[in-house]
Amino acid sequence: MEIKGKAARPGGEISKRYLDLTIMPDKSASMNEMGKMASLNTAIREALPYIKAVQEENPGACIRLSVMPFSHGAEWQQKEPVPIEDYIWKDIIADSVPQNANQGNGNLEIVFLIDTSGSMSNEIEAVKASCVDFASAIEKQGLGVKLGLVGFDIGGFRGTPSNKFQVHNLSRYTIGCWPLSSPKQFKENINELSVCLFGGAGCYLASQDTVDIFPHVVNTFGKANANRVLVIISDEIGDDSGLNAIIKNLQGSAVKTYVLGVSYGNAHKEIARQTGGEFWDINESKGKKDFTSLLVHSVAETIGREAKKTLADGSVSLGTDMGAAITLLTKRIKVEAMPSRCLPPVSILVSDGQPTDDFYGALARFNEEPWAKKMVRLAIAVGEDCDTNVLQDFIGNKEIKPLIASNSSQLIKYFKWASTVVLRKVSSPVNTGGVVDVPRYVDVVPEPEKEKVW
Amino acid sequence: MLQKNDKFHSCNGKRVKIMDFIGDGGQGEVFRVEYNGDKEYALKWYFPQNATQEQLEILKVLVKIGPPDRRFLWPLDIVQHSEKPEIFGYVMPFRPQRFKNATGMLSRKIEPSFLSLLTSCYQLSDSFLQLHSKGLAYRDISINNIFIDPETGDVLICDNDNVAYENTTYTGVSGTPKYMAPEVVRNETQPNRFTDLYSLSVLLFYLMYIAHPLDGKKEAAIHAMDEAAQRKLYGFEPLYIFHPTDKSNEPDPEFHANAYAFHEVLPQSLKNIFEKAFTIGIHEPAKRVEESVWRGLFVGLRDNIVNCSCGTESFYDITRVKQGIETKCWNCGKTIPIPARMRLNGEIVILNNNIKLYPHHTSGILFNFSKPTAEISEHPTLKIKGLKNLSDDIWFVTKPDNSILQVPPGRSFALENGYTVKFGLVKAEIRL
Repeated sequence: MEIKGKAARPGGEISKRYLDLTIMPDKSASMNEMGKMASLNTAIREALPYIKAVQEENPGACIRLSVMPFSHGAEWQQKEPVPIEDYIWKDIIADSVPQNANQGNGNLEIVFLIDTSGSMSNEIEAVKASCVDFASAIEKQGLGVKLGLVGFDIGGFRGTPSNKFQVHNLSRYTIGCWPLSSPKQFKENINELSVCLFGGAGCYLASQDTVDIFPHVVNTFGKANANRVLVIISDEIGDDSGLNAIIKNLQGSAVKTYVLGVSYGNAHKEIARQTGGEFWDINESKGKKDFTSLLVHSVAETIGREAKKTLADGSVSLGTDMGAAITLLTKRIKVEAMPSRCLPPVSILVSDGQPTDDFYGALARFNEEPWAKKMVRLAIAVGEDCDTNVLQDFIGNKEIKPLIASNSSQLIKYFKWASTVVLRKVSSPVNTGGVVDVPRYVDVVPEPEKEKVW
Repeated sequence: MLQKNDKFHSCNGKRVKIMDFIGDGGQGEVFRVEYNGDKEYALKWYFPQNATQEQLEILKVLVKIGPPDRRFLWPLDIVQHSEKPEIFGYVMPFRPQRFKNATGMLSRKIEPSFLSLLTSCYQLSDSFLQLHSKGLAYRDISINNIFIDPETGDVLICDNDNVAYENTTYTGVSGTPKYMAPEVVRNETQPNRFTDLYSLSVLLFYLMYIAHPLDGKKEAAIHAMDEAAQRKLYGFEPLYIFHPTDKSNEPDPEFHANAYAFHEVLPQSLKNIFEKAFTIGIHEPAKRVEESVWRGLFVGLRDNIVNCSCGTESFYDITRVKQGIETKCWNCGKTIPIPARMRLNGEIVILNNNIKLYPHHTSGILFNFSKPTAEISEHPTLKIKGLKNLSDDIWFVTKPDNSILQVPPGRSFALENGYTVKFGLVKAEIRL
């Protein structure tokens, strides 16, 4: 006998524990490309009934969903987590592609000015490898970015003359200039570079005798209306006697300069600062530098995927503020902000690119929170441009790999998996050792179709 | 994956046609199918990663053994994909709509009466007894695998594809933590009949109390219930919330109010058995409460329900009655007048207006509930309550003055204090 509308027996529902699921989708402008955002919305919408089913199976859990899209900054869609039964999905809209975007028309030129002196022998291979990686990343984007190369040193050319580059003997220095080329050609060019190729006696920017290098550097750039980026890589430094002249030359030719250089002395830092670029310490990086993510804002600006935006707090956002998202999540999982009865929270980070803000600083602060250690973190890369290392670092558990969704049906599968298998395990973990058995599942997900949706 | 109207031949050579997608779980998808021309079947179709050789071997054994009783949605036949035989599934009976997943009990979306619930508990104990007596272990008893008809209390047991002979070592799931025997949580043993007995007692406690027998103050103190916390609570430091001497894990009134609410209402005989199950039974697998004990207990309790005029049920608790405590309704608080009852084989059977007696009562054929043999009736003109003979035998009623009344099938006799009725071999004494 069922007594309708009235309890047939005493008591109430079984007591519940909150299970908070946070989805952090990247909504930067690049998510508009190839229908990525539409696919993501579909994937999450399709996953909702499965999450609701897991809720049905687990009356002891109260599954709550929070969505925090990020691009220029990050924001919760709802102030508080919403119980899944009440959740009504609202499609996320990606940022619009900037109006002034000049997509892939070769409007960005990057010249590398590289020290080949003997002191670089420890770093040169790492520098070359980084440049090759960078060129590959640019190449993969299929964009018309042009790359040039200048080697400089004291002591004269020691190689075999080649028609690929021009050697100039200046007042003190010898330089070799490779013209702007495609990223593919650039990779070949950079491999011709070796220690002591132009002498080996040293490179002392920004002493007076280095000033005459820069007109040649400026000449290596092409179109007047192009965005010009110079990357100087050197592990030696001179005095400031030529600094003003060099900066004037670079400024006058609108060359934004990034320096992977030495941190003592002024010259390197000032060249970067006064031309609007950035300075990185070569001794910290031992010559290895991920230019792809470091130059990403310059690259992004030019290729028109994202736009700069000044946020309410005055900071400038470059479009993929993953760090801001992590910071917002950190606030949510502070011990005092969490309910007293919980199951381990689950979060899913979804992105198609690289962070353009201080992701690692934010992640370090996040990791200090006790609840961060309890959280099951998953990450999905949308398309293959995404920096999976960043996603892996977010996950913080080598046994769980980022899932790479190269098409819409994979994305749907991954979300379904995350919202069934993972939520089930968290709400009622089975004693099989590991908490979440991600890689095994990923291995067996068959490639549904060869053609790529994006 | 499978599409509607896909056709296969089963391993037993029967025709299987996919009809409708029903749902999916952690291991695969379930479809309604036409099996050998009959539509009352379902097919569980494993995800590729779950379609292991080991699973296939288990299924072959289960198909061969056959269901322990009709309450198991048992694998009856195996279907392998015609092009990819490494992917497979099994045919089982289709679950009628009247059966609901028992997890709904915990959210109170399903609210069976005590009578129905006791029936469910009796049936579960009985079915697991049948399963265990075949030398099998279920290995993953939990509320998620149980379906209940809230009207009748009838149960169905699903997900039988982890069932295996007791001595089989097998790498599959080792259970659902809250239901797992402590020694399984501690990874000391594979699931077996004794660990099943523990899981069964947790399941029965969940159903009766809408609470977990080990979730008390220790559980309330945990903020993040992760795997480590569960291992501690259910494996390394299990302590019954109503432990007779150690009160350190008493229910927390804020989070475990149900435990207190039901403890007030449930009869002492049941509480005694639960205490045994979660004190000695936690640490000594061989001393766990057997299915047959549960079965007898729940069947007996079905006869100890009294109905309050407010429409709810309470228990006629013989322990309290002997202490001179009146039976009070948990809902309205009124004292419930005890209706006519009979003493049958030393046990009290409350003769509520809605009661039916079965061969279990009247023929001494225990646990036979196949067909009612008696029900409460009312005199057509007088306001007299009687017991109607629904059996094929003549009953003999001895009045206090030793005169005898004959009650042929279809007739009723008035329930009066001091009457003794003989239903064949079984004798019962009427009390008012």
